[in-house]
Amino acid sequence: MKRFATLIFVMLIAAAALAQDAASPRFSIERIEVRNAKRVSTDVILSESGLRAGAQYSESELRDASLRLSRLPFLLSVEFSLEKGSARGLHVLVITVSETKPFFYQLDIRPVFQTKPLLDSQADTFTGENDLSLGFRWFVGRRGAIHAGLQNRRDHREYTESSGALVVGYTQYDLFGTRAFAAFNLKRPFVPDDASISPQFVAGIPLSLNQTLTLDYDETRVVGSTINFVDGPEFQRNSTQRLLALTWSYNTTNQPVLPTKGVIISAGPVLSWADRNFLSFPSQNIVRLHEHTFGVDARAARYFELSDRDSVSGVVETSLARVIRDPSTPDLHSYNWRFGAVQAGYSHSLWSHEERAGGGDSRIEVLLRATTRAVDGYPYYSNYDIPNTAQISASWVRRSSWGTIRLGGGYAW
Amino acid sequence: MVRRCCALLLLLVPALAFAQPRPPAVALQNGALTATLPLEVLNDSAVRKQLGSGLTTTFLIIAREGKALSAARLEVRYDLWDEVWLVRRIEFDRRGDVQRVTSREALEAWWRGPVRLIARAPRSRLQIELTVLPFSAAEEEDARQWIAKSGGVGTANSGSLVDALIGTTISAKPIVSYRWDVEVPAR
Repeated sequence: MKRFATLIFVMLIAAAALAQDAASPRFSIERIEVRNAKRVSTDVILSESGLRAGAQYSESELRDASLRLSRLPFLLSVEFSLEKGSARGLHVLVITVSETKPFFYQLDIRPVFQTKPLLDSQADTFTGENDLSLGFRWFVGRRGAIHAGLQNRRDHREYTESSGALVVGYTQYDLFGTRAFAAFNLKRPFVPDDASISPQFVAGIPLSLNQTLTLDYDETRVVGSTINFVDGPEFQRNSTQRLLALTWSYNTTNQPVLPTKGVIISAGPVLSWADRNFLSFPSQNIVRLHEHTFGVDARAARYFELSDRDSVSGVVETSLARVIRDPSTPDLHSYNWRFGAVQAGYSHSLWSHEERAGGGDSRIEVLLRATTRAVDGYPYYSNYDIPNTAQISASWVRRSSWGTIRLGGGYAW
Repeated sequence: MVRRCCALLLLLVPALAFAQPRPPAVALQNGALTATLPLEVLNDSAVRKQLGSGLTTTFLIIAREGKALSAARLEVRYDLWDEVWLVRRIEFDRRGDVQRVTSREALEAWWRGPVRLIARAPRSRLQIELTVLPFSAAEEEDARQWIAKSGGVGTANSGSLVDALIGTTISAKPIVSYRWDVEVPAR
């Protein structure tokens, strides 16, 4: 068992360091043809494949290109084949795709039951992943796509505020003839107060065929209604949050939503600036608080297929942040925030190969997750939350050309 | 109504029986266990389609006897310009051969050749898994050599296990897979 574990470990490292084999055949690609693309731009597919006509490719390079295309959210499956070219030794590479529908959804409902401290007592709560995204995607022109929809974006960072939003945006692929892309979104957050339209900008620059550097700027502006207190001040709650994240990622997984093979590693700095005002009680003073944060996020996940239907996964993630508050008061002072999580997962497909041939899947997932959080110098934190949590959850996941549904539940302690 | 159901069942039962190819024929040759894969696998529509793609099709064979694991693999690629099949057989001890076969009939004849799967005769029953993958596993050779040189895994049996791991690490969606419980012939 120990030897097998060592072997697996060595294999995992070796998989990341695979070199090209000079002895393997290389194919001269005269032309690349994309077939069965009805809505998706063939230029986008060609660009994302990283392949170009006139070059020579080994099978491993073609396989990697096939994987890159399989990870695109608007393709359900991809098949590669060769045909004879116009002269001996030349080939036409045929990429046959199966597209997702222009309407897409992602529903993730996994309530997790947990008993948490509430001051001096205990409270039963339901937390967990509850996300919903749905929308439309239209490809326009040769390299662009317009999208509109509802997005419920949540992150694990406790120093940022996440909320759902109505989003309209445009993505330009194949920038400067590379696999770089840029997306600009306008979003209107769903918050109890009035929200103003806020911008979001995402740009991705490919560093290599499997590595990408992504810059994400996300601004959320909330302008609340005005409250007049009797014999008190006139108060209008408003807040602005700006988030800038630079993420390096290495991705060799086989799917964007339900990967069963491959590695995904991401890491990078996060900067955030937040301004908010609130009314302090009982003094009824309006406090204007400015927070600026420097943090680092890192995540590594490895998916390993045990058999045709079964796969296991391991995830390690960590985040560190320094939150500086101005003005810093005894109740609201600067702090360091630390987060770490380890997750092990098992996934079993309920479908046979033939049923999955079109790209859809139906799986049962079981996850074991342990998280730890710590806030230095914040004495009230442990009154409301548990710093170290273990969680078990099980869910059913269904992926189709329309989207993904994940339904399940869990228990945390 | 009952008659119709019975008739339907009678039609479905043979269809279900033919859905899974018959198990590989296993035999003992010079102390090693060999397996001959059924021709139905080669004639499966999805496999035929992949074989015609001009890219390599990998047939990964894994034998399990309890916790013991052994593996072999076959690779087939049709050269579009030379119009020949390039075939490769890698057996449990990494011995194998590479051939060029010029017709479908010759390919089927090569396919019917036994593959040495396990070094010794298993006790009674074993499980054989066959996974058909697009693309070649040959390019993972560097990884295998790297592992072998890393120490501690360079024994005879580990080579087979490494092959199995390499085969299953090929990051491509399998085309089809089969699993059979096979009775081992008496010595």
